[in-house]
Amino acid sequence: MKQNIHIPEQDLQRVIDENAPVANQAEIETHISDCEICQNRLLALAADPSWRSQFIENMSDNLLHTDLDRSDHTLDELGKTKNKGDEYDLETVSRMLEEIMLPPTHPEMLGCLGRNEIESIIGCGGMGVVLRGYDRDLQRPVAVKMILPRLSKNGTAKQRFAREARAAAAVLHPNVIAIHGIEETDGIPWFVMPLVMGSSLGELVREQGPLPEKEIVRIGMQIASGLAAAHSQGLVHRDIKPENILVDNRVNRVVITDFGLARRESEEPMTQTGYLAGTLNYMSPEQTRGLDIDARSDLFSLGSLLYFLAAGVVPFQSESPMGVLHLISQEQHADVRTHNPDVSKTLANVIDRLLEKDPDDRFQSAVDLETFLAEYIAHLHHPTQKSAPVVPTRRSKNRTFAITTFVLAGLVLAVCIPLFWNWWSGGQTGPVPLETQWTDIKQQYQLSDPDAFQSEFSQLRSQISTLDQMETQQMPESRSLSTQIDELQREFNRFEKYLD
Amino acid sequence: MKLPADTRYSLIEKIKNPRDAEAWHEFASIYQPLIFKICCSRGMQHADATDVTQDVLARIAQAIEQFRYDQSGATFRGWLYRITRNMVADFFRKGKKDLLQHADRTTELRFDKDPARDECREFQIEFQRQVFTVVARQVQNQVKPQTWAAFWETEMENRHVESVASELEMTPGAIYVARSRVIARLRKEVQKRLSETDQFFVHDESMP
Repeated sequence: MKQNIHIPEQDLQRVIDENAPVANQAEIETHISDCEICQNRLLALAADPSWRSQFIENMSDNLLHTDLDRSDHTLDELGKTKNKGDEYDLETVSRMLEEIMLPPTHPEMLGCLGRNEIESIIGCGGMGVVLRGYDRDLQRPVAVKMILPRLSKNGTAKQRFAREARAAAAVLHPNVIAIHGIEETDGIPWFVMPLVMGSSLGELVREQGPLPEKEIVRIGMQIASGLAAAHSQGLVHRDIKPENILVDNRVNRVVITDFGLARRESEEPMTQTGYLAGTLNYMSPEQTRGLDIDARSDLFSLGSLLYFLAAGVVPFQSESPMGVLHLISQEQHADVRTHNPDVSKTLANVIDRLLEKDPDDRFQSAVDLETFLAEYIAHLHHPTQKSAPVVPTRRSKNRTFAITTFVLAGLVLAVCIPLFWNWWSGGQTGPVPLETQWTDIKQQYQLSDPDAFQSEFSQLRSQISTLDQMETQQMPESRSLSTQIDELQREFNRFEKYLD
Repeated sequence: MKLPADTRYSLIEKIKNPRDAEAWHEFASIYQPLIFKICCSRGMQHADATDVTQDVLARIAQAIEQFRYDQSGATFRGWLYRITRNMVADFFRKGKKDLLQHADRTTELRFDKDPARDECREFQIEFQRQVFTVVARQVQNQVKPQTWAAFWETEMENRHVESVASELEMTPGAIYVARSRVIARLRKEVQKRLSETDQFFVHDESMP
C-alpha cells in the first residue's frame, strides 16, 4: 500500500497525454489510490490550480443563473449524473456537515455548529441549504443557512452568499428576516436566522386558495413596510415572490426572506451582462430586459404577488420562460376581478397601479404604498367613519404631462438648435451646462401657452428625424444626437422635482 | 490543400469557406449565444435579438473573405464586437429592417490602433465563459460517460473521491486518472479556441 517511491514525472505525464499506453498503468492507479502526493502531482500536470478554479467558477456561474436559451440544454447534459430537479444531494450535504460540524450533544442530532445544535435539514433556498437548529445559549430554535456543497469552492458563489447575509443583516424591521450572526467554519459560510413557524405565502395560497381582501391588504402593507426599510438602506430585493414571504403564525406577521439576489444600489452588479437573475413570473418589465432597476421594480413584483393572493393565479403565465417575459414586458394583465369577483375596485386599482409597465406610473415608493394601504385598512375596519382612499391616477393623465412635454421641448430645442447650426458650420459644440439652460427655460416657457409648444414640439420631432438622416450620411461620429437626447431625457427626469 | 507556412490553421480560416458547414457550426456555437447576450443586455427583446444576431453572423460571412492576417490590425474578437455594437445601435435608431443593407461599411471596418478600444471587458468575459461551455460539451462527447462522470462529480460537484469511486465501480486511482485527463483535454481545447481569435486581421478590399 504505502510506497516510499513515488511515480516518476514522465510516467504521470504519459498517463495524462493518453498517447502512448503506459505499461504499468494498473500499478500506477493502485499507487495513486492511496498516495495524496501523487494525486496532487497528477492534477497539477493536467492544469495549474488557477486555471482549474477559473474553469470551475465560470461553469458554476452558468449553473447559478437561469439559462433562458433552453435549446442549449448544456447545463442539463453536463450534469448528467445528477437527478434533474434535485436542488441538493442529501448525501453531499450530510457529508459537508459532517466535515465541519462538531459532534452533537444529543445522539439524535446531526451535530454542532458554533453554539447551535443542528437537528435536521429543512430544505434548499436560493444558493444555500437551510437547516433546523437550536441555539443552546439563548435557548431558542433557529434556522441555519449554509452555502450549497457544490458551491463551497466557488469564490464568486461564496461572495454572493455572504452578500445575501450582509444585505438582510443591514435591515432591522419586523417584516424582514433578522440575521443573528454571520460565521465561517472551514471556509464554509453560514448564518443564523430565527426559525419562523409557519409556511410561505406560496404554500398558503396553494392550500387555501385566494385570501380574503382584508388579509391581502394587511399582508401587502406589511411587505411594503419591510421593503421600505430595505429600500431606505439602499437595497433592492429583486426577488419578491410568494415563496420568499414567510407567514409567522404565532404573531400574525409576514417576513421577507431570501435576499440572495438583493443588490445595493452602489455595488458592482455581480451578474454579467445578459444574465437575468430572479424568478420569472414576478419579475418587473425592466428586470426582464436587463435594464437598470430601482426600488420601484420591487413594487411591481409586489403587485404580481398581491394579484396572486387575490386571484390564486399569477398575472403573467405562459408555457415557456420567454413567453412569460414577453407578457410581462408587453402585454396587459387581465383584471384581477375576472378571476375573483369579490375583489374590491380599490384593491384592483392598487394592483393595476403596481403593475404599470413604466416605473414612473407606479407608486413611487414602498412608503407611499404602505401609507395608502394603512388608510385603506382603516376604512375596511370602520367603513362608515373613514372613506376609502382613492388610488392616485397615473402621471401621464395629469396636467403635469402637458407641462413636462413643453419643458422637454424647450430643453431639446435649446440644445438641438446650437447643435444644428454647428453641424452646418462644421464646428464643434461645447456642452452647455444643463443647470443654466434649465433656469432659462423655466423662466422662458413656464408662463406660455401649452398648445403653442405642442406644435413646436412636433416641429422639433420632424427636425430631429431630418437631422438624423443627414447625420448618418455625413458624420462619422454617429448617434451623438440621439444619445444626447437620451441623456437629456434622463437629466430631465431628475429635474422633475422642480415642477409643481 | 496546403496552407502557406506562416498561416496558422484556424477556425477563422475555415469559415472563409461558406460551405464548410462544420466550421460554421462550431463558429456559431461560440459566437451566436455571445452576440445574442450582448443584444439582450442592450435592452432588445428576445425575437429582435435573434434576428439581429443572424444579421451580424451574415455580415461576418460577407466580410470574412477579405480578411487577412496583419499584425497592424485588430483581433477578430475586436472586429466582431464592433460589428455587433454598431448593428445593435442601428437597430435602435432605425428598426431592424434592412440592417444588413445599410450596415455602415466604411466605419465598421476601420480599426483603431489601440485594440482595447475595440474590445470590451464584458465581451471578453462573456466570450471566455462561452468557450468554456462549448468546449465542455465537446469534450464530454469525446470521452466515455464514466470518464466524464468521474471528472464532473469530483471536480465540479466537489464530492469525495471514495464515494464517487464506489458509485462508478472504479478505483480511486482510476478516478484521479480520468479526472486529470479530462482536465488536460479541456485546458488544451480552451487554449486552442482562445488563441484562434487572438490573431490580428485587417480588412483588405483589394482582395478578391
